[in-house]
Amino acid sequence: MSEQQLDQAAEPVFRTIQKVISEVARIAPEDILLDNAVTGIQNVDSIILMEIVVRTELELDIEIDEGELFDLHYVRDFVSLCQRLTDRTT
Amino acid sequence: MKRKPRLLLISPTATFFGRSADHQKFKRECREFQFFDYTWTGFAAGLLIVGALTPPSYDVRYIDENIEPVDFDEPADLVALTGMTAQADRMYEIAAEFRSRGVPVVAGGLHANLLPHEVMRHVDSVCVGEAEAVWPELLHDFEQRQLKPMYRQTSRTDMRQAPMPRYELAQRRYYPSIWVETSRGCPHSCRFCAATIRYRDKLGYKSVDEVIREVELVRDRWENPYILFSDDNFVVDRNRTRELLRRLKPLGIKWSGQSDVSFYKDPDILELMHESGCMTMLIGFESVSSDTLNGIDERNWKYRALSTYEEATKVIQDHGIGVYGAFTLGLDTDTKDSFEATSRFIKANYIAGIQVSCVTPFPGTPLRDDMAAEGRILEDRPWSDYTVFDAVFQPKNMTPKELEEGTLRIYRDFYNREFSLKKTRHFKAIYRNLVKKETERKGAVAASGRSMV
Repeated sequence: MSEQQLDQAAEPVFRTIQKVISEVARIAPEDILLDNAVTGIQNVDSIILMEIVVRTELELDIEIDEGELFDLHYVRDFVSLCQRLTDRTT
Repeated sequence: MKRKPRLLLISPTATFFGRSADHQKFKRECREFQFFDYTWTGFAAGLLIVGALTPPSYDVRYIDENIEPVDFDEPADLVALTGMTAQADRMYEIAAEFRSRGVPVVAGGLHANLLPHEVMRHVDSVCVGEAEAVWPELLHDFEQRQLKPMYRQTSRTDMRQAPMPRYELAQRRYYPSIWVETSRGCPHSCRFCAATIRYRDKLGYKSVDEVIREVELVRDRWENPYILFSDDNFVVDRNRTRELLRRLKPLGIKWSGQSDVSFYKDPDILELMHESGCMTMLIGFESVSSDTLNGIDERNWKYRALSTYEEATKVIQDHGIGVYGAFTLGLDTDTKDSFEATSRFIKANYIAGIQVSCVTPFPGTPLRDDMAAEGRILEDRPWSDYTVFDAVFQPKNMTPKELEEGTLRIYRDFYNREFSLKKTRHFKAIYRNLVKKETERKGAVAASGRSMV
């Protein structure tokens, strides 16, 4: 996963995101790390990113405000955002 | 043991985007623009074809100067250079360095095809035409120490016989996108297009089997490659395009291509594109002004297509395929208002990405002939300014500086957080719709236990 570990609660969210990115961008799940830059994940350009966001929303049953996507720099940021939204809906 | 002759294939440094300080600052600082650079950077595909045409008795090395410096003292028996016009000055510098060390240098590629006699003054041999048609003869003459100053193609290359590029030569380097060629040429002869001059009346296709073999090889060599089909126009032969897309579907790649706008009327192709992993298509709109499009190509095709641009963009993007719109400004009917009109069109239609260039009078084009006759070419501008983002001629209705600033203003209007947010909302709605449809379809298939036709 990453040198820095996640909160235990965020672990399932990360796994879901890993699965979504892996399916959409066709990258091996183990290559998707928390410290990957969002623009630096192989195959992930802005259009692919949209598909990842939409599929993540459906998988986690959340709605991500588009404005928040602009503050994402690393996969870790995306996981944290989704975790926060998941907490809010449960 | 006798050492193998060493062939260096070199792609000289190129400037992506304009050379002005304002262009470079924008490129450096605009986060939204980074995706563009990332997506459209690739290797010099022509050199990999030359590599494939070179027998195994040679030790071949590919050097991309955009990634690594050229070591002029590296052992070499023959150097082959390629380049677009913006790379020509650097190509000549590299040639001079190797020739001063007694290493023969040959050159091909777009600029060599446009101005062979100029290139010939800087190298030992210039290749005019497709590599397949001239390289074997050149290599034979090199071995006999009898290189001719020029090798000119005399008959068309049968693309079905073209060798697979030696992708392994570029494999060690990191390229975000991998170029794959399925055809050469374009049916539209736009007045400013240098590529069309090169392949005039030569629309050639690789067989679908061959393309699939190449894509499979690329997929095996690079992990999760993003493939850019380099064809000038990917959708000319619709039946072939359909067959190719069907065959690409199971390969699980992501890809982009280039074409005109016409395929929006073909629902089969649109669906197959999305299903086969097409992310974006670069479409040469050129202009949103009917005055400017009138006469821009020999058949006036783009002028007639203008009324379809809005509908076409919507239909294509609703299928999950982002439209990268290519626009060319500075033609004689363009005024200072053209920048605002272009920007309005781009934003009103939520175009996914843009390439907005200053029209450039490339050598050999009808456009250059007209401008030269009127004394409007800025002769003091070096070839390295022919980036298509720097103005190298005197426009009719504005200054060169105003043309450069106007095109950059369109980029600023488009690649910024406020508009990116609007665009993101637009595309998110499209993708939500597509993903829902896909989920429903899969659900229906699972429920019925059979595939729905």
